[in-house]
Amino acid sequence: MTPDNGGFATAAYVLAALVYGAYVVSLKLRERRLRERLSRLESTARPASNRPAGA
Amino acid sequence: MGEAPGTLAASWIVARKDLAIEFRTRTAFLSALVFALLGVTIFYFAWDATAVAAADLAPGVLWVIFTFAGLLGLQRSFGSELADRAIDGLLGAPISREAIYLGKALANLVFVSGILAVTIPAVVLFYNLPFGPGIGALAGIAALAAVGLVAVGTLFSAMAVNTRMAELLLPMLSLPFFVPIVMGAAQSSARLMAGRPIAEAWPWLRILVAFDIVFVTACTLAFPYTLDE
Amino acid sequence: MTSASEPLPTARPRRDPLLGVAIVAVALVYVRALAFTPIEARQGAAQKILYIHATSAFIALYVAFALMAIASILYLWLKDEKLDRVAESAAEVGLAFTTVVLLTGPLWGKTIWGAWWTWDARLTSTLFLWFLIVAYSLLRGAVEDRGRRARYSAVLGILAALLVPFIHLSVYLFRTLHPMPILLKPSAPSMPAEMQVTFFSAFFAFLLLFAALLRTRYRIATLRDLVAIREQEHA
Repeated sequence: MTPDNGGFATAAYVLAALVYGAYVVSLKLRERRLRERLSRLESTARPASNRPAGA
Repeated sequence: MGEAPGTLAASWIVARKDLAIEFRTRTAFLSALVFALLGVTIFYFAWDATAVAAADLAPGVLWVIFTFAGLLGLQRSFGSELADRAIDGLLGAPISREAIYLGKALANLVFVSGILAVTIPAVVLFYNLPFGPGIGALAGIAALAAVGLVAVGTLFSAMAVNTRMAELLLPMLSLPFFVPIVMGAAQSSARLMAGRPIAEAWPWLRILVAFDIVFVTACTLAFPYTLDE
Repeated sequence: MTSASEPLPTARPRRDPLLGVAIVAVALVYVRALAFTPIEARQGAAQKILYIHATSAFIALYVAFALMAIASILYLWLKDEKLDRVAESAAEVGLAFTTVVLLTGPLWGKTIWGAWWTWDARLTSTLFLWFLIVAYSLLRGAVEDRGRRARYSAVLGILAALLVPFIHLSVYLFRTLHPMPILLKPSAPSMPAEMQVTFFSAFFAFLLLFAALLRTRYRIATLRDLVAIREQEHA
């Protein structure tokens, strides 16, 4: 007799999609915020600072 | 000025210095000791004595307490150095980085062994353990477990002490590593104290020994990377 | 220091199709697994959890964690900051995968073992993997100096890799020496061809997802370090 446990499968697939989905969204948001910060910093850069990064 | 001491001799010098400082105040040792004894007591009352025999609980209690008391001892290991950047003095001395690590680990080992020397008899007393040949084996297992705990804990306390949340970070880093130690020690000591043949405890002792060898080596090699050059 | 050969990320976003492709691939696998793969007679529909659980587990341990450990060793040897960013990214993406494993595992376990959790070697090792990666992330968060953070993380990454076999061995020993209730063996010895196709498609799709997430996370790490440098220049 095949057990009727489709609910478990659905729950698992939904949970996995939620976790991976939430992570993708979090990555996208963080990337966007960092790019915004970077563009603000670079647009207000002092003209004298032509030094290579980190020097 | 004689030659720079070899690694082992240098470790001993570092250890002695640490222990001398510790011995002067004794605060950390006494605190950890009282903590261990209180823990042993609290654990006794946390269980239903009619459902589980005290002697069955004893190994578990002993090694859990050992873990947390050990953590307390490890906390103090680099704390005193940080206070006045005394570690710079150590780094300037003509001793190898590995010797600093081994010396501190050795001091921690003495510290933890001191705690065990009081806690084990306390557990035997409070939990009414049969005073048989298993007790001697317990000392040996305690030594192996202490070496493992101290090897990993000394390295992590060297890292944690440089962070903002040292007291929280040290347990978070160390406890996963303590699990094989606790398992090996608890399982082997439970069997030996129940009078089982040593062959039953042997697989667990092997894990304990293997852990010690792997992690003493790995932590000694890794320690120089935790120092700023 | 970012090397001169590596193009610095700009504020303008670049098109990266990999993530989109990966998401589509995973969605297709979902459809195939749920609608077009036969139900296993003995275990029921819940057996399909295997396709996301086992694949995520493999990737979490043998791809993400292994990459983190290898990048850590290479960092200590070569001192290249890029390697530290790889390790950091592999750890975080690995954490997402490990979380999925720990959430889907009990759901599957309940149907085949009747218990949400059993302390078997694989499940316990996965739990410890989760703890270790969390500890790794907390350590990184607690150290502010970039060089020291990289070194500390690398040391932890290597030690963690050494620990996992010990956990696995200890728990395995624990279970073989402790009589445990007889458990149903999960997957049948030979999977019919249709299920195998689904399984390998799922594995490929999630591997693609891992690669896409890793690349995105690596970009974030590079951006973050660059922002820190620029902020220092302004100060």
